[in-house]
Amino acid sequence: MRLLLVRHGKAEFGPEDADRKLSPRGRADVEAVAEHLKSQEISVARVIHSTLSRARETADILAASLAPGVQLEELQGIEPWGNVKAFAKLAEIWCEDTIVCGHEPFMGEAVSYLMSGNAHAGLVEVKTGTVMALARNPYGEGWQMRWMFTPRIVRGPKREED
Amino acid sequence: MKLYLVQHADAASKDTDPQRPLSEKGLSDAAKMAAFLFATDVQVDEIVHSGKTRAEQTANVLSKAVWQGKATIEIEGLGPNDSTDHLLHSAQVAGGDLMAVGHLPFMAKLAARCLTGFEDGVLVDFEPGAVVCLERQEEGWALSWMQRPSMVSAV
Repeated sequence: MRLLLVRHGKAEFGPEDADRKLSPRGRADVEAVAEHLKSQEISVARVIHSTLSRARETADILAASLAPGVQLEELQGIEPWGNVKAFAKLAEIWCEDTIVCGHEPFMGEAVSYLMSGNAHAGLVEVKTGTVMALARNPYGEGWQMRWMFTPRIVRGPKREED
Repeated sequence: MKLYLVQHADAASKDTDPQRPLSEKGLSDAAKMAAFLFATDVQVDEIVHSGKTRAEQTANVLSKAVWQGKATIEIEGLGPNDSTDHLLHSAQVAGGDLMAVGHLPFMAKLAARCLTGFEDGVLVDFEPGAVVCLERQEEGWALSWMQRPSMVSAV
């Protein structure tokens, strides 16, 4: 079972944090990541997002490519300052490949916790649009990193127009 | 600075060839990873390997994409069961970005040690040809990205 943890794409600034939309660049980044994953024949059974707009929009773009027809699921408690341990407990019993779209610092802390048991180990640098694929450790406790992409890696080096 | 940890690509079995050179799959996987690194604009200041044929061959293929120098360098302390002290020290004092091509379990132990301070626990699931990019920050090393041949399309 793969757990694909995604940080939302770059977002526009706005007065209400919960309503901030993806910027054109953020949208293009997530679309490139979705396209790339689809070309690698990655698909998932569930797509989950936080209660914030930018995570829902990110989930929507990924679902269109990787989980056509699948209903998005909103999950509370994975907002930027959500509860990492509660989330890990939830994920422990999941058995289908699942995308979870969320935020920093939550995603970095969740990955650190899942991999090492310490949410504050700072194991990963999670830029906007990053996707991290974890699988359960076949020989012990916890989860292992299988691959990790940033939009920069998928889209190639930064160009002038970016 | 960045540290790229690479497990050598798929190699022939001991029975086929005691030197264990890269297999056809290994050569093709190494070339795929080289193309990926080139497309991603990865450049390193030094590329080292364990001296074993499969590691040296992998380093040579990758070096064409990521390095301006002439010959990859064989170093001590990069064997499958060596202590991670030597390479970790080299990485910490290196002035630039370093790519090290070696073996399991060494690479998994080194990745875990950089990230958590402890060698035990396999945090990163290597496969032959996989590349892990660690970046050194103020608080220590963090994983920037990880790529594996099975996730790269053929060139």
